[in-house]
Amino acid sequence: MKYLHFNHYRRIYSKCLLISCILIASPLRANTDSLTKLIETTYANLTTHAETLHQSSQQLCKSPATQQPAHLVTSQQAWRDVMGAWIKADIINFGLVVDENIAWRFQFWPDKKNLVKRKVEQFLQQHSDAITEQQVAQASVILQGLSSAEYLLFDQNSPSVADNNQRCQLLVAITKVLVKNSRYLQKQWNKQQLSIKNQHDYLALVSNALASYLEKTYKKWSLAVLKENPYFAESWRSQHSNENVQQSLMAANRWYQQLILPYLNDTKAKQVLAKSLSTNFQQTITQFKALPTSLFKMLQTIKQQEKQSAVNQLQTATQQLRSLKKQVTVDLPQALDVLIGFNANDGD
Amino acid sequence: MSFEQPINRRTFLQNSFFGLSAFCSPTLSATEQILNKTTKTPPLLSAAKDNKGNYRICIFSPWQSQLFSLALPHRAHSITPHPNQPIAVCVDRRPGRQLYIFDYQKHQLLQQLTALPNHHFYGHGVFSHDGEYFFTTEQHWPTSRGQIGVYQTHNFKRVDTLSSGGIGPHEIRLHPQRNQLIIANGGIQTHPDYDRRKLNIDTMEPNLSLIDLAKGDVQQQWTFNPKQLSIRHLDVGEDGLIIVGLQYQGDQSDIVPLVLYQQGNSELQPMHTDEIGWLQLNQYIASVCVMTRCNTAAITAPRANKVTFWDLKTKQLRKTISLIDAAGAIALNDQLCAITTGTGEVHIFDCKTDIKKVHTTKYNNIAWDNHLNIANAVHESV
Repeated sequence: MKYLHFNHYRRIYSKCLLISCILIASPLRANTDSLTKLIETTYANLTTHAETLHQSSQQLCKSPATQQPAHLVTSQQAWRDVMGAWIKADIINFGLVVDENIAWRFQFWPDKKNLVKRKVEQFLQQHSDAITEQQVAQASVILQGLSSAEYLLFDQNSPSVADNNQRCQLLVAITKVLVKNSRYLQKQWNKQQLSIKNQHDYLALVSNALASYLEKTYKKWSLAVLKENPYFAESWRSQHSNENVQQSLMAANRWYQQLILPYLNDTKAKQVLAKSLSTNFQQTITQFKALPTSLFKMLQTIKQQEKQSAVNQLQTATQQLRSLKKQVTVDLPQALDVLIGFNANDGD
Repeated sequence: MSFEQPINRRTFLQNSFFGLSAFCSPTLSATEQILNKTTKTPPLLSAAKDNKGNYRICIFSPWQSQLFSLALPHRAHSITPHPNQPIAVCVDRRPGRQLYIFDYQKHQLLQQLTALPNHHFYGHGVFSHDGEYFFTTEQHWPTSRGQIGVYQTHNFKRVDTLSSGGIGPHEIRLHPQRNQLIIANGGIQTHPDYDRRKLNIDTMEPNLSLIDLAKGDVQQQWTFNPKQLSIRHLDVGEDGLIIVGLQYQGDQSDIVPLVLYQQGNSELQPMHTDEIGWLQLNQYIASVCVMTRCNTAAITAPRANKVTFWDLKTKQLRKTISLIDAAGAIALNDQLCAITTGTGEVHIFDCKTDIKKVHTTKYNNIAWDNHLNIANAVHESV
């Protein structure tokens, strides 16, 4: 009798354990864990690259004149790496970064009126050589991020940061603010817990993030391409715009593969969409990789020589990106039964 | 047209008007206790889209997932309840041409009206204080003239047409103390032949107009620069303070004020916030809700996924909260306001002291449209 009694509890215990294991191993739990891991890795990567840029800026400013050209090249590469890391992090368009408007402190876009140049030059006129990170952190957000750092590091029509101490000190201060903001995101991104109570909440969150991100990517690309204006390209000074789109597409693909794809296998229709989306992502990435490195130069060429081949190349890539965007913003939410930006995209 | 009744009407009304006891947890926090005492809330009214892409008028509870809906052939925009009868008018979205008059107690469509030939509606309307007349913003498109259509409400017969004082009149309100209409003339010229395309961005001249209903003409008018700031949505407090929500049609990189106020004979002036306070709104305001008794205006910015709360005395931005596709805003009582979202949520905020979210109801497969209203409590009894 005693033995049976023990067995009875053992069976209950085993069943409880099994239920717990099922819950822990449930797709929702596994995927919220994947989401957390992806966010942590992405912000950690951003911090690492921001720190490298800050260090290389410090070295650039301290180095003797003979070594400055080499240090400038290193800092420019470090800027490209942070820009890539930020582009990847920008897919996390919820939580702390939105609640506290931190994205504006990383990048000011679009800048059709060249406000970045105006704000930087105005700030330099109003300050001495001893520029501090506090001064930058309290200044306009236009001055605080990668857009201003790009202006200082790459602009061909203003004094080089390499042989102007004041400009160099501003660069150091800007990159220090970038480091602080990156670390803040990395450490505090989950200070307000994400509101995911069930699978529907989870899918709504990750699908909305992906849809908004591809909308933004398309907007950034098409602003310059459709108007054939090289100065509307996202990172025209560093000629990094095409690279930015590639980084975006890779980040979006990773997001899709890791966080959404597991939910597209329970019906034939979803499986077909999943396959089509995976193919479309790959084709779009390939298409953009095949473009010449500099969108800025391509658009200048078109303007000056009206080269039909360049026009065709850009049109094909734009069309491919548009088709991917449509699948992600229309077909995917329908398949997952979630709603995407009703008033945000078409209000009145 | 057909009404869907997913729940029993009596149950819905009981839950809506007789407190929260049925669905509150046994141990109540201080906030919940306040809610329990104060939430004999009439149902909310909003246009919506379901997950199959169908458009609807919805009569629903802010406290739990219970709604009645009426299918619509097109997307509607706003719904306005009559001040002393249990009816409301739903207006088609621009450039729609239909008005739907329905009984929100019996859940019946009473009447459907079509705009005059060569006219379309802009999506908003308002009843006179005594409920005898209904006014709606509209356009005579051959001339691009902004107009106010006047309807007698005992039979909803059109009885008059007033000038709105500008192009593209959008939201309309009644002044709380005077016999005046307040009209946000957005300034944007459109034509049904070009769907919703904006035809005059470079030359647009928006304004805020006061129309004297006794004389039928514009009594006062205010403008604001830059002119590409379309004066679009508004609400007015019990003391006559007008809060205006703008939508910017200029360059994407411009940082412009998007919330203005007007009081007495003063000019239109921007509310107060810093650069990032304006940047975060993404150049677009949807709904404005003024709550004079708790000194707050709740204002939604769906493109920015934000709802903002402003201090009516200091005119300062008090708080910003992230909400995906934040859309409609309405006061439930002196202290609480409801904010709907395009992802189907109804959030309730306590605005009395520190702004805080006190309740959320999720409506699966419903996308709430930009505007929200509340039925009149006086008629609500089971």
